[in-house]
Amino acid sequence: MLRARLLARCWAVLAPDGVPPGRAAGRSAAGTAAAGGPPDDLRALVDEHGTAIYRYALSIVRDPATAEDIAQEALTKAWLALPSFRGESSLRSWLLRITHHAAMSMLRVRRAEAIDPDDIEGSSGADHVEGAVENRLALAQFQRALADLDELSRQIVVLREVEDLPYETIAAMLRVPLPTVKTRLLRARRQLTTALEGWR
Amino acid sequence: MGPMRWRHPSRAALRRWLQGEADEPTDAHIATCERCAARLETLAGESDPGGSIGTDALQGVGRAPGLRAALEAALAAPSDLNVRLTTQVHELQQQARWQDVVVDAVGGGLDTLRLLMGDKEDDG
Ligand SMILES: [Zn+2]
Repeated sequence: MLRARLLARCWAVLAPDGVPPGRAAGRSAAGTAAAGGPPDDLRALVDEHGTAIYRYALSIVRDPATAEDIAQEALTKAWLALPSFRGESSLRSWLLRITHHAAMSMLRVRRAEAIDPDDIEGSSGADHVEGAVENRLALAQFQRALADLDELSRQIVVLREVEDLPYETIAAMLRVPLPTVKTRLLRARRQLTTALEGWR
Repeated sequence: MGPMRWRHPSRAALRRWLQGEADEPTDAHIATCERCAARLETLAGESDPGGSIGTDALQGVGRAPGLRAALEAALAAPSDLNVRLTTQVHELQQQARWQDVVVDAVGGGLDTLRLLMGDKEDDG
C-alpha cells in the first residue's frame, strides 16, 4: 500500500506538466508544456503580469533584487491559489493584492536593513528604456523624485497611473481612506510632473 | 489629534501641503477629509492648469513623456525577468511537491515502524 502510494506521489512529481493540484482537470491541451519545463499556463501568467507585479513591488521596496524576490513569492502563491480565484476582482488587481501582502511582509523582515534610495538608479531596468524616455539624466531625476515620495504615495501613483485601478480599489487594497488616495495622488502627480520638466 | 484635526486647513496650508511641506495636523486632516480633497483638487488645477489633474497632461509638451511612460521607465523590469520568474516559480512548486513526498515517506515509514514494533502507546 505505502509503496504504491509513494510511487504514485513520485510519478506525480516527475510528471512533466508541473500543474498544481486541482488545475489539471480543466486544463486545455494548450496548457501542456515541453517535458520537465514550466507549463504554458504558468508562462502565460508570468508573461501577462510579471512585469506589472515587479514594477509594483519595486515601487514599494525600491531595490530591484528585493522586488524580484517579492515578484517570485507573489507569483508562486498566486499560481497555487489560482484554482480558488473567483473572479470577484480583475485578475490583475488580485495579483497586485497578493504582491502587496508579499511586499509588506518582506518589508517587515527587512526594515532593519536600510535600503539606500540611490541603489535603484542604474540598477533597475533603466537600460531597456526606449523612445521618448531615453534621456538618462532626466530619468535619473525622475527616479529621485519618485524615491522622494513616501512609500504610500509611490504605491498609489503606480496603482492609479500605470495600473488604472479605481480609487476605491486602491483604498481597499492599501486599507486607507478614500481622501488619502485622492490627495496623495494629487500631490505625487504634481511632484513627479515637475521632475518631468527636465525632459523637455 | 484633538479638535484641531477637524478644522479644515487654510488655503495657504493646503498649498504648502501640495508642495510637500506638510505639517502633521494638516496631513492627518487631509488623509480623511473628502471636502479638503476636493479643495486640493481645485487648488492644484488653479496653480498648474492641466498639469496636475490630467494623466497625460505632459503628453506632447516638447519631448516630455507622459507620467505613465515615465513611471514605466523608472520602474522598468530587466529584459529577462519573465523567463527567470517562470523558472523560479516552477522550481519552487516542484520543490513543494518533493517535500510532500518526503513528508509522506517519513510519515508512512513511522507508521510502518509502529506496526512492526506493535506500538503499545495507544493501548493505555
Ligand atoms: Zn477638511
